[in-house]
Amino acid sequence: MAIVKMKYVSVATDESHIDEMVLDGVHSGLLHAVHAADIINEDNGGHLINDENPYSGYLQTLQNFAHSVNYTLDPERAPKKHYTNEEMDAFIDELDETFGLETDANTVLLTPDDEQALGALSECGFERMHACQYLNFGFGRLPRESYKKLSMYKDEIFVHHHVHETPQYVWMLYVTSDSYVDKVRKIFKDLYFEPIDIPMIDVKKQLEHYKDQIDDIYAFCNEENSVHELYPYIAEINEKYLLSGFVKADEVDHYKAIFKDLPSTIEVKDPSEVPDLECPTLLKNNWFAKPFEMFLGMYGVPKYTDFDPTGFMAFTYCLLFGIMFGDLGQGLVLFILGLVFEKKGQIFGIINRCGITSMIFGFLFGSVFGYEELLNPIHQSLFGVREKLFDVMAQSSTMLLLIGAVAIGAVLILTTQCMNIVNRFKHHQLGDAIFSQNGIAGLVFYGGIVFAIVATMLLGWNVLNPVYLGIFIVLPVISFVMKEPLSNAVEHKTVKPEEGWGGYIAQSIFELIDVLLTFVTNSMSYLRVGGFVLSHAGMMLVVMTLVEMTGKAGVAVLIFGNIFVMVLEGLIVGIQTLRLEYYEMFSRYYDAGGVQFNALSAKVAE
Amino acid sequence: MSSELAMSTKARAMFGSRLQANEYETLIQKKSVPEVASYLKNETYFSKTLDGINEKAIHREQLESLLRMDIFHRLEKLERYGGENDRGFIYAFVMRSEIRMILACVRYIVTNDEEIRSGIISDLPMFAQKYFSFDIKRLPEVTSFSELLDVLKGTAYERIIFKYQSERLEEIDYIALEHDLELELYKDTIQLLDLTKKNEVNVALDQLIMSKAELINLSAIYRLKKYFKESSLTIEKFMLPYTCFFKKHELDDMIENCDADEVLERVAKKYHRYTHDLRFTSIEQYVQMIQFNMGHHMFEYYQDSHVVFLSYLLLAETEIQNLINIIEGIRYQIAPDRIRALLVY
Repeated sequence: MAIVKMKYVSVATDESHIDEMVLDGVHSGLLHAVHAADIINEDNGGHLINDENPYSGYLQTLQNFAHSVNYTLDPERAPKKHYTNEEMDAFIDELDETFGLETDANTVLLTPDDEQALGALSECGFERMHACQYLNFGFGRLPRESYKKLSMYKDEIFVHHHVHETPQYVWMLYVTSDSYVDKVRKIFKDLYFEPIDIPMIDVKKQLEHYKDQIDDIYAFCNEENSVHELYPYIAEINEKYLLSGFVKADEVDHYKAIFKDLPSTIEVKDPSEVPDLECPTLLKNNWFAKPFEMFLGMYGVPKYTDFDPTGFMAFTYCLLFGIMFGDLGQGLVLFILGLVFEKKGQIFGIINRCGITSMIFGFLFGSVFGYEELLNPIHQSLFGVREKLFDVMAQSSTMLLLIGAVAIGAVLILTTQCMNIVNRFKHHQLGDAIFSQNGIAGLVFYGGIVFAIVATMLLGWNVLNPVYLGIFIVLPVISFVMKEPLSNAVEHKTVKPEEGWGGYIAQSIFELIDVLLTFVTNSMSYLRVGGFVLSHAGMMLVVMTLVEMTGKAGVAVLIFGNIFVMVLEGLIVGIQTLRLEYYEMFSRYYDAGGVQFNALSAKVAE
Repeated sequence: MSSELAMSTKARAMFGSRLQANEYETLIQKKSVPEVASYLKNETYFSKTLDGINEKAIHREQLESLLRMDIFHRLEKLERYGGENDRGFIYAFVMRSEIRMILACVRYIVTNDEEIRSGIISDLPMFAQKYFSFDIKRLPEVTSFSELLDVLKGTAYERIIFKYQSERLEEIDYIALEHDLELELYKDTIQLLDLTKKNEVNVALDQLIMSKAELINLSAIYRLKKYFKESSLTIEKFMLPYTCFFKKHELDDMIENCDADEVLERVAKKYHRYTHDLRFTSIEQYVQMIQFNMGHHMFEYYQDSHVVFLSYLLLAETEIQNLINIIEGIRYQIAPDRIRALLVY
């Protein structure tokens, strides 16, 4: 239930070792890299690496070639040797010359759609088109938006034929005579036509000879390209090349050791020393709370400097779920289901943990797959009760259940207020810690009201005297209204509110109404906990009535009824509990806004 | 109220995925338009707009046109969440294209230059066809004023063009025509909003629209004084008859008595809320910054669907303008520092 300590590590090397540094950094799988654009600024005079990536061009050229000749490149192969740019250029020139193709990636990018369109065009016969003496052919893709405009050129001398289309482009062939070719080309250029060369001949027979070398160069380029794609993480500062990011504090030595053979300097800093960079958050939780990181992630991970609420969330989630879904048998099913599929996803981990509390409360409510009397003998011997410990369906239990639910809500609200106060003090946000509705003022106000209700109704004390009201009601209310100026005062800022006193007071009074209403609605919101206990018991009562009515088919009805209730109730209760966590609890004490720790890996690089 | 909340929530979500400073920084470091296209397609939220494009082969103008089209689609998306009235803003947005196309058509009638006709066809925003008040597909066929009037029959433009049609084509006052068409745009938008009731939302809307006209005026005054040393009489001719933060007599006084630097000083003072920490590089960028800051402020503080819609449009247009500046800058090999200075965010 903590946030893993991080260190900011910056590795610097010279120009000739950039690739090794990048590869070592990525393959370590330890680094949450920081984008170089976030590091460079006017003060350090740094800039991004502007080194062009030639390998993406070579890759594209080879892909163009492969598309043109319908050859499937081998993406899994490891390169046998290192190639210089000159060697690759010479090889590509040789390919182009032999196969009579134009494959340069700087001018041509043939996509699978281009290939499909070329395939359709080939039915017209490439050789026949090239053999025409007085007709000119143009083939390529035209943006769909432009295609609609072709009909506006009524007087122009060309015909066109649609070959293939996607939502963005139409592949088409136009034909015109020699006399009009320049004019027609200009028209198509104005319409953003992207021409594709019509191949000269069918050359597939030549492939066998070049196959191995094509695949080897392709594999080499693939490898180099994956390194170049990581260059955005490299900042160039004072002729040094920096790969920077965050590493878990206990893995820094291991990370540094990875670069021991590299001529490099490594700088390690505490995240507080690099306040401009947002330190990522990696949560560390025990077996019980770990799966709940998923729910936390959906809301937003905490900032690195904040605290990790996963443990508290796991506890309260399971508690509320267990109360609402209290059935020993169904809880056991959830537990087993979660256990079996836990490796398939964190949600099953959550189901497993919720199963435990469902079993506990199911046992306390004496409910097993809808059988409400099955556990009565155990209850009688364990707790010395006449029938069972707590009969959910008894009329006398209803009010107790609902009041109990609100009481749980009140305790949770007070707890979250305390957590918020500690958190705000930790961040030196004195104003929020003391004067806000979730600060000391809110705690005093809400705690005061809760205590007054408990004292009056349960203990018979009358605590509502002027002193009590002054301390627990009036003072906090003044504090809510004057929060901004009071906060400014304790934080040594200008006391006067930005919008002037008149505007501020008027606004604060409306906000006060909202605050007071929120306390009431938040407390009432927990009524659903009691409501779902009744609803669960009610639904199972229906199932059991149907079982009795259906005679021999009763077993099937019992099984399907239980499955139905488990799925429906499980889903609803799961969502409602999550709602309580997010809206009633998180809104009081938790600010997300952190960045998830995400180490670069070789797989990502690829 | 519910549709207002839905729209402002949607608009905020869309604004949240805007390009960030580091993305702009990465973009201005690119060396070619295909690299920019590739980055936008693969790394930003423009991926949907640019999905399927061939980044290596795409024309610069085609890329810019797709980005402009993106604003339109975003507005359509927002309009679905808003009320019936918000659709009117799309018409107002499309009016700008209509005016641009009509002006190009007049230029073609006057010059008979085939290049202009070709430009009209390639610029036709077919994606917004259904919102046009006339049949845009007929525009490329127009060769005379009577034909143009026939295309524009029944629209507000018919009256304006009728006023300017002349046998002697070389005598047509093109600037005055542009001015009149622009006025029509403002009239239409004002009519759409019905700002007669003076409440907080209407004041904000009024500021959003009128400040645009006022800043156009102020920018014209500055430029005409600074670079052309024009007389106050000539400057008056360029003015749109709208003011926002300035009173009419203050504007007149500025035209009459101030030099360019004093104009700038007064603008900074009047718009102090939006000029805080602004560095002056050029008047165009300065007023764009003011508008951006104002739009951002309105966008953050208002829930009203009209205000959200208009301010989001302003912010989205600024973002697209930034991208176009980057693309043009890279195309003409302008240094990253100079491109950076043009960006507003």
